[in-house]
Amino acid sequence: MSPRPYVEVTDLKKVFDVSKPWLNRVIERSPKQILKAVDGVSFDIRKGETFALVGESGSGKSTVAKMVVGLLGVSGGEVTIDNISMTDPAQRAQRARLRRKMQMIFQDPYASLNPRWRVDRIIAEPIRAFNVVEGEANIVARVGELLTLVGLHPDDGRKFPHEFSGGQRQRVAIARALASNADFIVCDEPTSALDVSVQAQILNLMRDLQEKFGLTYLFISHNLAVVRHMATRIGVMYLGRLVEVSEAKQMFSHPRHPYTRMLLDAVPDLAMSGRARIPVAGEIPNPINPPSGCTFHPRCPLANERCRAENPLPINGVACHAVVEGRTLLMPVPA
Amino acid sequence: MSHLAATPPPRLKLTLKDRVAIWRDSDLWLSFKASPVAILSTAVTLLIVIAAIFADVLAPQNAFDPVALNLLDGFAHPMERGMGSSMLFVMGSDEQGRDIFSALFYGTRLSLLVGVASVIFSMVLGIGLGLIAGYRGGKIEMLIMRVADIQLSFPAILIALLIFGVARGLIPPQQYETTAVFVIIIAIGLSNWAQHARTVRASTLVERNKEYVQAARLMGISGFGIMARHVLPNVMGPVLVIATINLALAIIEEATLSFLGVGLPITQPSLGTLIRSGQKYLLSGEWWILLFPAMILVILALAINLLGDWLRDALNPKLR
Repeated sequence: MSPRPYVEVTDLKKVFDVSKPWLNRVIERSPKQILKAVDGVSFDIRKGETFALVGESGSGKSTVAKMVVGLLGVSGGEVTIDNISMTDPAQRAQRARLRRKMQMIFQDPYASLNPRWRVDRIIAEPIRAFNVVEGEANIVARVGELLTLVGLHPDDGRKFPHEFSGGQRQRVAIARALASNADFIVCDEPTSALDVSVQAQILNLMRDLQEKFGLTYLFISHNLAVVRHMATRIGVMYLGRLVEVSEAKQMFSHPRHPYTRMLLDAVPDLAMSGRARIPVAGEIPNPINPPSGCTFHPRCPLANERCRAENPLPINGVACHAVVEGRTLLMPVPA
Repeated sequence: MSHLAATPPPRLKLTLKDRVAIWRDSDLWLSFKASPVAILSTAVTLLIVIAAIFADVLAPQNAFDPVALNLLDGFAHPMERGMGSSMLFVMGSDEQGRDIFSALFYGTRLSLLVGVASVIFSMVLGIGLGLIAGYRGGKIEMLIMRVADIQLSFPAILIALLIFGVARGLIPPQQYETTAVFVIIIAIGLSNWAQHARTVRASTLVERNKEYVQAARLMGISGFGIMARHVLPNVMGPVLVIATINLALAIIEEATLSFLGVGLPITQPSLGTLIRSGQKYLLSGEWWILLFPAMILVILALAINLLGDWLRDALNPKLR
């Protein structure tokens, strides 16, 4: 039997109550409105790999990330990290120990650093919170070490976040994530707020650090080029559901789910010019009132009656009736 | 790391020199230097504050010590020498021969004391409740904010009168004089906390969802720790503006209460008490007893208000 994966997510669900205030509901006689942000997502992450979640805005990627680290309570399902349940209230004490092993890098480096704190205090915060090293001198040394590790100078610790560029701020955020010797890092679109030229630097830094410390990443992104550069395995999300999970290489060479194909075709690529591609049709529907059956069917060129009626379950990592029935042959194959 | 030996380790604490340097570099200081109104109002406020603090040294007469008064000096006109003590009354004297100029020092001191103390009281209360309401949300937020809403729908002076009246009912009459200052501080403070709470709650709602707060939550830092160390410093800007403007309001509120006779007793006169006693003589021609305390009150409130206006503009990035 293979060892248990480092992170296991099983049938994760999150619903938000987006109803109008009680009084309006009573007067207008409108029912409660429930938004299913995440609807039955399952995947696992092996130690040392980068698992990427991709999808359009509003597909529930960030919600999954927040539930995995425990920033957001789950409405159903289970998250297990290193054999400790993040969702079981009985394992609170174990979870406190796990926290130190688990950090997050956020999307907006302008909001993820407290603007009133100097950088050395920001990086020292997890060190102090988890008592990683004792004594002021040791903390100072450790902060300097971390700053050097992410390509900054130890003296930069005396500056405030606003004195740095976006890329440098993201380096600071990475240093903070590493400060408690974390080995599982959730990255919520860590480069989408950065210039393209800086994105590569940050991604390479993250890969170097992964090699150096054997880090495990859960990498959220909507940018397929970034995901291609980083991911070992990829999960594609659509409207709160995971429609395809594949090895990264396979995903890009042989996309299976029609939605994955659509996403890949939407990537501007010089080599692709002139070839047949599936045009990106329509927009992501309103999750408060999702389409029946397979939620992708209004945009899917292969949809038939079954797709409109029945929600497909993932088989071999793909949740699609067309793939299972072999109807994908009708679709023009890119590349 | 090898280079650590070569470079001196960065210090985590700010020295005073650092703080001065940061301040001199800040937008706030630059905006202050460029605003004559801000400089003038600061100068006036500082002058009045210093005069109030050093009233005992600066005032020519110990105006509220009956021994220092000479009844023959009564109703001296401004710039007139008293008939009894032959001292010069720059701003005239009242019916007991009390030097109005000296009385102003003591009156301002008490007005400022009550104003500052009640603003601090309402700030602590309002910031605390606002932070809890904004950060915790849910039923606690509902409760706190509805109480604030209800209170804000009454004029502050009415609330202060109510609290003052209740306190009067609870405190035995022989202790009125000793407790009057505290009662009025609490009455004015309680009547103003809601604005602070509203401001803080609004800013907290914004800050709470920022990613640095989530990062701190991931570190397992307690709600109180996050509120105190992360959220509070980032919501203080608007609070300082409100506090400054509230200081002027609190001073006026105190003066109003004292003028109505429900504030400070005549033995501990504030500017409001002085105006109240002067108002009796206005129609008989002794205008100076009322005019000078009223002028100081207006100047003080105006200066603090202008300072608050400048602070609001300086801290508002949209107006730059």
